[in-house]
Amino acid sequence: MKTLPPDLQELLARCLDSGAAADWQELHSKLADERVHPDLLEAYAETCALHHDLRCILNGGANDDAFLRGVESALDGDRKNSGRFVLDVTSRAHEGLLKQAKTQRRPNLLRIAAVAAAAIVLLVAGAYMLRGPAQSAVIGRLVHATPDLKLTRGSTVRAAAAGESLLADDLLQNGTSGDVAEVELDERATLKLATGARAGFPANKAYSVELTQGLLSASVGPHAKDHPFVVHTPNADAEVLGTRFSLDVTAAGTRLNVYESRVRLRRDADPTGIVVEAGFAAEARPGTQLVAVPIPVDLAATFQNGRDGYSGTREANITTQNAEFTNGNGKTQFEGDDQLLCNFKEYECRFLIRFEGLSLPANAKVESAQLEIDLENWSATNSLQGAYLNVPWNLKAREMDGLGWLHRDDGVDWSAPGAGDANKDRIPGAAPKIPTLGEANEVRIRIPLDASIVQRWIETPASNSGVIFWLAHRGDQLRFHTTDAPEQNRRPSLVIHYSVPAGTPVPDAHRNQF
Amino acid sequence: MSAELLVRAQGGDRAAIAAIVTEHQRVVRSYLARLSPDPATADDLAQDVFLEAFQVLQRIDPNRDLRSYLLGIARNRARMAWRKQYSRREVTGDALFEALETHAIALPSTEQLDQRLDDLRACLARLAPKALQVFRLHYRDELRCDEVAERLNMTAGSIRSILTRGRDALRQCIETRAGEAAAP
Repeated sequence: MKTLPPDLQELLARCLDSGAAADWQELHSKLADERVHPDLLEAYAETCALHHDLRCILNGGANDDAFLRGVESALDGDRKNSGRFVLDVTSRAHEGLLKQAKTQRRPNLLRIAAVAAAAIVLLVAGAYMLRGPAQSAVIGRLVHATPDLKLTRGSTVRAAAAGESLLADDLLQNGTSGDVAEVELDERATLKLATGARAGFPANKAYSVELTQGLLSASVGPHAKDHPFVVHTPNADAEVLGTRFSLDVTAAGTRLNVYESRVRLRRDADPTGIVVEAGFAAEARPGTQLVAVPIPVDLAATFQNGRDGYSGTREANITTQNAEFTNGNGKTQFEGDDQLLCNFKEYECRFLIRFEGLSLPANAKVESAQLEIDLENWSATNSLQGAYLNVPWNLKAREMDGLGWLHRDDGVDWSAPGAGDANKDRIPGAAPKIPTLGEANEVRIRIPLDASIVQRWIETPASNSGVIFWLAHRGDQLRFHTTDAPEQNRRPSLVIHYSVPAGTPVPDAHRNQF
Repeated sequence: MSAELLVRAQGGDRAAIAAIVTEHQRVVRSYLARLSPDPATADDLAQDVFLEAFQVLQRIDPNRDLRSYLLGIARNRARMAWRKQYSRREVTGDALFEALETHAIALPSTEQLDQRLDDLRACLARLAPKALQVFRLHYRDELRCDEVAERLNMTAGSIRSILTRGRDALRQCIETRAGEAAAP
């Protein structure tokens, strides 16, 4: 049996008892000082596991239940701390009083008491709201921000950042980058805002979103019948009890697509509206009746190594590392590792990636394309830039004069070192818009690509030299998760949305819901 | 079973989500208990593992092994926890994480974990009454050593010593039982 030396045993016992950070740091430091002897580490890990098991057993399962409750509670969010909960209660109390006032069956005393109670509730809510913008209720968070997503809060308009909280009365306006913004609301709803979409979250209407422009896709968890999740648009309201759907608001009207369950679409002129079932769409236009019709097919192909048999992703890092030993060609990192590391402080580094063997059904027209890359980022100031490569590069050229900082193939040079010629090595005048990396250490960025360039990659595979990335300023380390990442969802992927003429056969896997 | 649960969970079935947590929590928590900077962090990380998985639920392929998927997230969470605890300019966190993963993690199956917990229960019954009382006060009632000491009119050092010796005895007992079970 492996045991820790007495001094480490004593220290570990103190750590497990007190949980003090300083004690743990001392213990970890001593373990490291022992040059991480395997037996010591095994004894340490087993003691920690035993400590954990003892808590589970001696708590008689309460610990397991508490864990499950913790996960469920975190999934639901803590609505009771939300200001919207107060407003919701107020609204219900107010509605009740209005009903009572209409029926006029209550004795005066009760009505006075009820009005007084409502006034108190309203006063409390009013006082809550008057505490100013800093006290506004958090209603959710921004999961993914596009490069030109704007957040309007009060009189301030600014760029929105992934991870930040959304408050009641916030307004989001997506730009024209082609990327999709994603929002998670505490009310069990996930919303995606397409290019140009504008959505507000009114404080005075619980469980609701105001979509005034553009395409919104939503996945909504179960809601009670008397409190449906409602998306208000200028032409109609969509009442949702738990489903997946999208709404597109244009100057002509509002279009609803339902992918799961059902949604009621109603408007002032037609308060009953119609119920739109899964697989159907309906349009609300002035002067036309609401009618449900089958949804036209939206298609998307995802290219990611290991998915549906695809294996065409190619990547490399070209660098100036050890350039003095390689006639200036630097050290190139090829595949074989689950991450490609760029230490931008010490040397220049550029990340190359292309997706070979892209194929879509005949006559497919690329509508949009998106590259997704997992990064490990250690500096909030890191800013990534990119370009489309205009010349081929050979991953099989691995000798000293092969693919590297100076050469793109055996004996063939880049026009400028590091594929640096903006007019020859790169496609001039075109650059992917890359979202800010933000403060998160591990982040999957979604980079919208130029649809016409991706169309050319498919029609003329020889033109497909992929994309190159680099940091705008010398900063910290950046790691790219590669096609060799053990977890498939960390590998780079290229998602192509496309359309085909009616009747064209398409793979089932390409049928997509925005 | 996991694939079916996953499909139901992807359809918004809350009971399926709870069943996934119940089915996999023990393995995930046990893995993290060995790999985290400290046991108190392990359960927080385990909770994050399930939350992260549920946030991307629709993207998980039901044909993949969900347990491996969850452990992949757990591994990354543990690595980030080590890095967060120690400045990235120090190598201690990364080095210890990698060394622990290399040398100290023999991930048991769910059945082996159940067996280990059964063994632990049996071994606990063999502890001296006084030691068992200390274990209950410390682990079940979550009293610190000084609080247990005050309750039993002893010193905190003695309580720590009882816990350390007791854990050693339990580990030895578990290993013996495991060895006996494996013997032909």
